Amino acid sequence: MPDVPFDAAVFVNCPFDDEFAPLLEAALFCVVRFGFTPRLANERLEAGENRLDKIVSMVRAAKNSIHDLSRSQALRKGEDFRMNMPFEFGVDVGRRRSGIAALADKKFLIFERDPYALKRALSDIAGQDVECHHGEHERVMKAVRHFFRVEAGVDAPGPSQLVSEYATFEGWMIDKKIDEGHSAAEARQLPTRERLDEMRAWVNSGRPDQYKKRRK
Amino acid sequence: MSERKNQHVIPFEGRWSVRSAGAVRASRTFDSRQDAIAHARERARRQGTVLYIHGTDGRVHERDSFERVAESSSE
Repeated sequence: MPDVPFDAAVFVNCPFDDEFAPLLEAALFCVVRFGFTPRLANERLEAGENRLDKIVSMVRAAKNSIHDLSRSQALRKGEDFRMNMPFEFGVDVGRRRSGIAALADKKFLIFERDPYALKRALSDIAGQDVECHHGEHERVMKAVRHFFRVEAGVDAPGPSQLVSEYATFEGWMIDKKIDEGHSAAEARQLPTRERLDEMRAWVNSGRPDQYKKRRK
Repeated sequence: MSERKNQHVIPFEGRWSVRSAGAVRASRTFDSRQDAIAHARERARRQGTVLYIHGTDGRVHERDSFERVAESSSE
């Protein structure tokens, strides 16, 4: 990943699994749409790189962060507690409170699934604003939109238009992938990393309404 | 004559809206997903465009092409 300016980088700390992927992708779409560069906690390690070092370097390099702490409750009996997200949130809080002036205005968007769930699991963050998404991508998009509008002053469209743009992008991406040799089913099941690449491509192409097939 | 646009059926605020690709607002909104699909399918068929049916997660779950060229697939 090339160097990204501090103000343009967004550290994204969330679950990386199939169940959460639609919510993550909705958030990533907003981040890319607003001209920011998401840095994902599961980015590939360089040879010999330590996972924690990688996380700390991303936290240090991003002014804005999205922390999804919605897995504070197990979904199934016997499920192991997922501590990476709260741990990485703690690392980010530590950086903000490190006394380094440039880091004091780091901004956090914190998600929980249902109201007050986080207060029970992580009472230390009492007093922080926390957004509930109820597992719905629309709520994620709305919260991310409001966060960047208020905290970063971006020229963001209204939530309804943003949802329309996301649908337009999805259709554009599916048709592009079919044109590139994917079956329709394959095009619908792309990994998040590839979807993120296509979000950038769509924005860089001027956010077209529809994909134009290549001449063959 | 209105421009030919692909049609999307998407969930929005607890209902189902039909939106043309690139449109800012919904052309119509329905309580029922099936009613929204029927309306959007008719629009796509009439215009010879593509219908995308999104799931509650926002992703495209079905694609149905009515393009009047070589492609004429239904999934």
